[in-house]
Amino acid sequence: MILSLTTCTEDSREALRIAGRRAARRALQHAAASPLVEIKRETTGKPYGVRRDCARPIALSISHAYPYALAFASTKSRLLGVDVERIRSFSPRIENVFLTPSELNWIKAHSLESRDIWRTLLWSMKEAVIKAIGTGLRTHPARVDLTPILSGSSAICIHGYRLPATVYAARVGSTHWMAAIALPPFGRYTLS
Amino acid sequence: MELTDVVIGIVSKTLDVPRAEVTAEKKLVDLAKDSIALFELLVAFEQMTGRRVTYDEIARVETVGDILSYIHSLPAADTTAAARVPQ
Repeated sequence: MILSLTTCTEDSREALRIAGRRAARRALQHAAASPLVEIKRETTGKPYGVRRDCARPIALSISHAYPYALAFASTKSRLLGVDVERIRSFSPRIENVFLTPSELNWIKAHSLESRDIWRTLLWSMKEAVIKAIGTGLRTHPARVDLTPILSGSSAICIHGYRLPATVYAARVGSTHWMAAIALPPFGRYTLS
Repeated sequence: MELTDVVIGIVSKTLDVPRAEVTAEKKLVDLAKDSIALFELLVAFEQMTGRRVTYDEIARVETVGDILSYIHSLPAADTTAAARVPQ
């Protein structure tokens, strides 16, 4: 699994999109061990890569938040999600709505002034998960439970199903979090 | 206040963009600074209508105009509640 992070000097959607493609191409080339890669999109809009000299798809996920663009590629895992998020405050309307009760307890164990940092991390990990399963916000973030990860297991729960997961999360500078998640293929989910 | 004005006001306030920029053809992902802002908008409309937005409904919403169509498609009781939401 390859993560590629790049920066962008201009804060515009187009500049970030171009930086995202640059990061994606680099991640795909490393994952495929070939410079001959192309970025394609499923009908749902989810990106994937292909090697031009063989039809085998390469899983891909892209995210950007100025000034960073991040891509995650793998030839082994099919369900990848990545997110880079600026650390920010959360309005009272949503600060707890996207968390499960045990995640909320985890947040409350941190100092008041650091809670938005940890909320942003959990949001970023959940965003990576819902991108990996291909639903985006159509899956309510509170249906993704990160409690197993927070207690040291390599697993997450989605809609109550516990799944093994490879998770990578790190601070990017002092202003952003990045999170990358690879899930095994799975069967049908009930989305509500 | 007209329902359309209420909806545009909520989008403008929640996404922190000038009202004049909130036009029907604008994509929400272009107006929102990040995914957290989009989620806040979703929660704002759930609170406004008092009902949970479903998977199928979210899948159909891409632009401000799609939100307007969605809100106008709700039963009258829901939209009456929506119009009462203070700005």
